[in-house]
Amino acid sequence: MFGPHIAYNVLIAYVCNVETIYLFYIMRNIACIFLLSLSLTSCVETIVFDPGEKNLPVMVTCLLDPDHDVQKLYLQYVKGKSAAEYVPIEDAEVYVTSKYFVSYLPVDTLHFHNVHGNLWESQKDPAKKIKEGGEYHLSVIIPGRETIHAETTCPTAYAPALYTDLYEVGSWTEHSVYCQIKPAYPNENKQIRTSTVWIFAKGKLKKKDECDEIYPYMVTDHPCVDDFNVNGRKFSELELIGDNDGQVMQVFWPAYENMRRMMPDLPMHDEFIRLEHMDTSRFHLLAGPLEYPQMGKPHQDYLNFTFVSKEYDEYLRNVYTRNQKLDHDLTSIFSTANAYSNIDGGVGIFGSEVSYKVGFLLN
Amino acid sequence: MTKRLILFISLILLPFCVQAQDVKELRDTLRSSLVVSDKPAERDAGSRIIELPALRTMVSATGEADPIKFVQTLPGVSTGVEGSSAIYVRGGNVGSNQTTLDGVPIYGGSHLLGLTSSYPADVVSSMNIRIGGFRGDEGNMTASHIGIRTADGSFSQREVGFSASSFILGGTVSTPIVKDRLSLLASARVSPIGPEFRAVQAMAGGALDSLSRVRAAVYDLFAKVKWLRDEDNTYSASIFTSRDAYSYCYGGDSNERLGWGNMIINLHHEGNLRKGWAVEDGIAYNRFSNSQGIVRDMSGTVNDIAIVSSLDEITADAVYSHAGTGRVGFRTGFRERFTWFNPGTSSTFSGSGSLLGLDSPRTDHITHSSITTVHVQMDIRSGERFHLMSSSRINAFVADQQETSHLNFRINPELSLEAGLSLTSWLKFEATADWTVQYHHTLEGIPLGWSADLIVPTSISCPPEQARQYYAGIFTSFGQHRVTAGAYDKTMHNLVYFLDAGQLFSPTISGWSNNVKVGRGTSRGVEFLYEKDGERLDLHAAYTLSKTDRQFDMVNNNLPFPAKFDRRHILNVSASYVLSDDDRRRISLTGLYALQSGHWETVAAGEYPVFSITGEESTFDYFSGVNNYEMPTYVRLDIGCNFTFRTRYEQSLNIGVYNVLNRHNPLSFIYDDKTRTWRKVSLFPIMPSFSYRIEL
Repeated sequence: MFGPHIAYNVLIAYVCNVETIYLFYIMRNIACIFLLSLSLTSCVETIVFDPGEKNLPVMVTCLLDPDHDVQKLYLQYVKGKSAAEYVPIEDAEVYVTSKYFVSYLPVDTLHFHNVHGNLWESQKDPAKKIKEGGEYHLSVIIPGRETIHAETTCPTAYAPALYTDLYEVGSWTEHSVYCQIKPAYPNENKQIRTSTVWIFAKGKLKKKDECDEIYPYMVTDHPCVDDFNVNGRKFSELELIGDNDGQVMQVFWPAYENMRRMMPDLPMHDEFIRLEHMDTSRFHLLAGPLEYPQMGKPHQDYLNFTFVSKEYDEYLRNVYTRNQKLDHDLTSIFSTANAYSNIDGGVGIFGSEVSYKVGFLLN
Repeated sequence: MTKRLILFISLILLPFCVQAQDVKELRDTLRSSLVVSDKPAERDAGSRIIELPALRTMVSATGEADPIKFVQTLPGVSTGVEGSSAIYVRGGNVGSNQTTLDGVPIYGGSHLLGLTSSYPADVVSSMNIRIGGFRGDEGNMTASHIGIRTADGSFSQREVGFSASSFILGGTVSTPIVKDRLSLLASARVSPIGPEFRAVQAMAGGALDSLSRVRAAVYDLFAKVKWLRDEDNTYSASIFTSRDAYSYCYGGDSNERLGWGNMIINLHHEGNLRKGWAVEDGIAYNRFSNSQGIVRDMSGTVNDIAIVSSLDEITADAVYSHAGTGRVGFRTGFRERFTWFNPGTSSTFSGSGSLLGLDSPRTDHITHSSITTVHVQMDIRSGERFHLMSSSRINAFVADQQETSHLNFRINPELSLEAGLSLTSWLKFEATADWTVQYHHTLEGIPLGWSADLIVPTSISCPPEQARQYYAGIFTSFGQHRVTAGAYDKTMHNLVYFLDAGQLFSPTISGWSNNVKVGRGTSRGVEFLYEKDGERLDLHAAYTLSKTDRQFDMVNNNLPFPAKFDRRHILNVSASYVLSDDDRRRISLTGLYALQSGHWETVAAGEYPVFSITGEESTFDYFSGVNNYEMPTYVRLDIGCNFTFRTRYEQSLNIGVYNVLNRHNPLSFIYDDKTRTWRKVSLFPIMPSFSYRIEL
């Protein structure tokens, strides 16, 4: 590593006079100092970029739900990069104004009061219950700030009904291991266009005494499924998990094989599926992982159907996409675009949802 | 006898009006203000006097004195990040400056991440720096022109020289091929930085501060043949190539690479015509390419993203000049420049994750353009008291368009004025006014941590950049002291800003012009320069107070924001003191103190929680605006000592300490995806600097 320097110095010493020889020794020492000094280079330190801005915006989170008599709203300031905690907003005037789609009905106002910290709750008034299809306008008035506004329309939803297929496997009549969903139309002769629906499954994946977990993937053959959260794996790649009771499995294996034949080689979605709408006669749904059948094992698993407003739908999609990018896409860190928000004058989400839970059995 | 070959930097950094640097003075027959020391009455507006001894003894990280580093200490000039050779002159972008080597633009003018220039100083005979009052043959830039002229080979005897400094080894040969007729000047430099780093790493027993597998290839080659055909005609042919390529692994799961290169082939003729006319003409080919890429594993998804661009030019030009009566000088000429750009980015994903199949490989998007320029310049002088320079250019621009089959055709005039009035023998008033045009853009809005510039062509949606600049000031001298004070006002139009830096690597980059906004910029400032030339003590102090803004539609809520390298205060103070100077040796001490306001970055102002459909909560950044964070103040103190031994073979040794205060000024930023935090990379803490030269 010192070769080039030594060779050079020797050459110089050969052709130069005594003072150059003197320089040779100086240079050799300098070369040593220089090379050692390289070890001082390339210092890497964590840096916190905090512009120290004082007037950070207000964050509003509110999801109207017709099934709840009391609506909740969260109000706080965006936290500075160096700040320890979020600062709640406890002094404000918050209300939601509704206007039914039927013009002759009066406009109602739902007022909120601060419970504690950033939590606000609406008054309990049966006459002012949130209704499907209703249009709502949020106003937040904070002293010293411009009024914050947002709007949402409560989604149209209906309770899904679950069906299971029966099929013959040898001499046994067995249930399928997947769910067949058929919308329970209030009037089967008249179809109602639903809002976008997000579906996920929850249950005790392992032992019955653990908390409910989100099933890690879902598969469906619905024609309007959004493929934005496919994970690149196929249904046919699934393997069974859990304890393999050989005798039981011998009985139920044909059922699984039959399922594989009946379900096309569909892509798997991470944790949930998003349907543009649910206006089909029927479709199939499966939540995984696949589990070895256990005799006598009770199941308390359920499917959660959440019909969402347009704003809330865009918010959820944006949150998922950004998180995926932050985890997997290096280019995402360079983006300086803010997340989706329908809050005029702030950040967050003012939306609405209607949810249904449907229990299902795997075997 | 072996003739002494000047291996030291023989640059004479001339005042801004000066051109003539060789005996024949074919290029500029106007009265020159070639200034080596101090001739204040002849200095023109915005000019700076840079003394050769001061430049030679300047301490630098590489150990090698670099003229660009000296330019960075001038008033009106803002610098890029630590160690870089980028300059931002009076609010302009880095791409608004043009550096030419014998009239041919150099787009990648630095080595070693900007630590030194890519052209060897040993082959430079003169250097002109102009930031106002542009001459007729200076065009296609809106901020500054740095004109470098190379020396000729020796026509009488062979001369060989070697040089060594902290990061560069080089050699130069100057020899006659045919005595008094044909000469050759050749130079080669290479940097041993790659092996040096690996050697230190081996001594340290592993990665240095998370950096490992460092590879570096840095070199430049220059050769010039000059033919003295007769008394009135000379011909020269030169070739220059430089290359920088770096790669390193950071943190074990990230590989980064960076590189750029130049290739210039230049054929040049100078001749004397009849009736006092002179001509300079030539044809040149120029190629520049640069790239920066990252390969990183993010949670199982391997990202490979890169910025790549290339630029090829063929230029033919001719300049005719006439000295006139001594009161009025005249120059005219034309230039035809044919250019083809190929900017682009790429992104590929492998491994696992939802991004598979969303590759955006780089594809060629070549744009061809032609710029035809006719220029005229007139100089009027009234003795020593008054002078006026007026130059004008007419540009015809034609380019093909990716969006349509139509050609983009434009006619753009340019005008520059320079005036000086000596009120007394010691007080002079000076002023410049410039209306300039530039036919390429350097994209602003490049993400944090990326240093490669993406040069993109002018298009229908991105018209040529235009600038209007006014400067007025006074110059005074008394004894050994010179003082310049002035103010400028500059407005820039058709600046280009990339809207969402995250989209830079997406498939939409194929239509990059769809993701940019065109806007404007303003810059105002006052400049102050003090110089003292004494027998022992030389002082140089430059201060700039300025403000530079940008404004684009749909960016920062349509509000103005600071330009990235808008530094409010810039102070550079340098001093040189001669300890001893006799027949045998000369010893001097030097020091440089640099204090600059921090530059600006776009960072998140805050954060807030978000949640998914399953109830899982995460935190997102909130961005309030563009360039909303001012980096810490840049401070640096360098000290050095210069020894010159006047022996049979004159030798010079410079030793010094760079960054005495050990200030960790940032060079770049790296993103740690595990902790989702940014980390600052500082390359130069306190470190020694040395260089050695010998003349044979």
